[in-house]
Amino acid sequence: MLIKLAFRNIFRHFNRTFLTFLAIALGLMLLIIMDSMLSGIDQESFNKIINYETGHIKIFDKNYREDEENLPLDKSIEKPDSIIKALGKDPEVAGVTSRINFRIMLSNGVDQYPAVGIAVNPKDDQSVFLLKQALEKGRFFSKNDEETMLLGEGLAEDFGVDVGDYLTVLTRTKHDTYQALDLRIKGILKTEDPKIDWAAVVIPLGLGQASLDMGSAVTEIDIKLKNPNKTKEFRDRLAKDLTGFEVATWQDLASDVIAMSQAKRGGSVFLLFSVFLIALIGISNTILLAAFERTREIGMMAAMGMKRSQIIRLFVLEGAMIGVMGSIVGCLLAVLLNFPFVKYGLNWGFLMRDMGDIGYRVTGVSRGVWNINMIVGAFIFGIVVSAITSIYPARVASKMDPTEALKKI
Amino acid sequence: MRYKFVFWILILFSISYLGFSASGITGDEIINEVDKNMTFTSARMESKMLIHVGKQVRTKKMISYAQGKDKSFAKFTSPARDKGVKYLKIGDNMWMYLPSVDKIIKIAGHMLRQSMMGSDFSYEDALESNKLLEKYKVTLIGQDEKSYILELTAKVKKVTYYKRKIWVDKRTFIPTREELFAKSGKKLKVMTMGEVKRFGRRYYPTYMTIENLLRRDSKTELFTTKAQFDIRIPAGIFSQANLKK
Repeated sequence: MLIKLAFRNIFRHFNRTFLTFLAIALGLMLLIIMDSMLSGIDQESFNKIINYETGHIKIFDKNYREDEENLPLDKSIEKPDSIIKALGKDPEVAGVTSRINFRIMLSNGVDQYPAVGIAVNPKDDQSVFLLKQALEKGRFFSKNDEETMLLGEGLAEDFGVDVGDYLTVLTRTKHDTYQALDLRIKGILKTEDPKIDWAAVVIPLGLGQASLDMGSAVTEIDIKLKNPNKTKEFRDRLAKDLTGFEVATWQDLASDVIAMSQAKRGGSVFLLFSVFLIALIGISNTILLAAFERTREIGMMAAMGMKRSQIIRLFVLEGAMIGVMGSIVGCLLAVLLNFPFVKYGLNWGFLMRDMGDIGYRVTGVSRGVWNINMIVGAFIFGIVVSAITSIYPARVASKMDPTEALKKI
Repeated sequence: MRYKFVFWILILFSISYLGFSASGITGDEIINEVDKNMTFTSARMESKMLIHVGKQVRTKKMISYAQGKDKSFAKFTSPARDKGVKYLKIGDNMWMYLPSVDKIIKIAGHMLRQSMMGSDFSYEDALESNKLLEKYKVTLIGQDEKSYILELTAKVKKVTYYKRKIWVDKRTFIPTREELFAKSGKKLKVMTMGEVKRFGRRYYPTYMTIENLLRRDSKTELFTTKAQFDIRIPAGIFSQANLKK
């Protein structure tokens, strides 16, 4: 009976109800879409970091990370082979490789740009990283000591070079002596990870070791796990076995990106919550207006014996119903809109290039994700909060004295 | 046929060897002579530095003092932006004073690689050029009418340039050209020195350029506009306290 009454009541002022409902629907839709995009960017960033930069676990010399900014070559792993061999036999390890990271200046004889050199092992780099798959043009290294390089697409564009052209890599050896290598570009990398595309020069490990005076040393050992959710457990186990080294998970290494994404997300959720709050004030206002408008009616209902609690329930029900409709439509709109975001994504390229390196590893298209928890959560949130916000106006309505109320006829 | 070829090579080799020993001077001796010319008991100089970056030219002026091989002090007097920037070098240590922040900064570690006041000189270039004999094996690889040509190859691991090639004027023992090479053998920088003038009993080049070959139009010129040698230098010039004065 109450439900029927409430349902009819909310349509007595269609325009007002519609506006309130629209505010809730749009608020919810924005919340869900924003969450989808942000989660998409996060997921994409984390995947890029794992697939091109860190793997799941990294091993360094124990003093490496205090000087990490400078990519020091003298804090290296002198004999990586035995560790790599042992890790290869570990049942939890899916792949293991080693790399040297070093600072370079890339030059074409006219201009000079700072960049990062990465010496990768052509034999096993693919077991951890996806560089080979990210080749847009050209080919991957076939020999460990060939004098060629793979160049990030952004750098290639800046220099106006292509596969087959030469650039000079200027760097310092382990002993700080200048080293300059004229290398032919064998491939162009397009990873959509700005740390690679805009800043990386990849050379074979053998060439790196020889030209940087590294002997058989590397600066890091990179590990891919079979179960990517067990990074912390694996790190702790490995750290116990290896002394003189530092073991870090990709989460440890990308802590700045993770912290930033959380801060950003906190910020946007707060913003959206404010939007939503305005929508809720709308509900409260609609119900309150209805209560005052229907003073006579309330008086009449009370006079006919309707209890205070029943009056409260009636108005709360009205609020909840607007909430239900808003939530249903909001979620439906969000789902409809999220389809193209998930399927085709949104191209941030124009934005990211101008902003420069802000930590996110996304340079081009980023896709949305389906976050069922978020959709269901938003749906329930919409209804519950609408109902709660109508409690106050409902109480105001219920407090009306029937005789006073009836006087207003 | 092959033996004949080897024979001729040997003959040529010994002739050229005789040629060098005939002049009776070794690479090390030449470098020592150069050192004698280029270091002084004491000196005060006024110089002008022209830094070319692309088509832009920036001019900076400075006054510098030096004592022996180990101590030097420089103070920039113009442009306004750099006025009051001071450098002090004692042995292997180098400090910089920035008036804008009123701070003395020790130049060490990775800072040594940076360019000095935006020029093509780096701090380590300034520090290392004093110790050529300690760090390099010197070979006299040839000579022409005017100069000896020396090749310096690193004999220790920790050097900035693996190889240097220096042309030294036979008459004045002033280096006229120096080429700096990376370990791979690629030429990175070229320095030239000229406008050699006589100051009392010594010769000193008053014009110097350094060119970065990996960047087009990147060149620094240094003109010495006034030089006084073997003078009395006021006490306290080579001290950190003087940096802040």
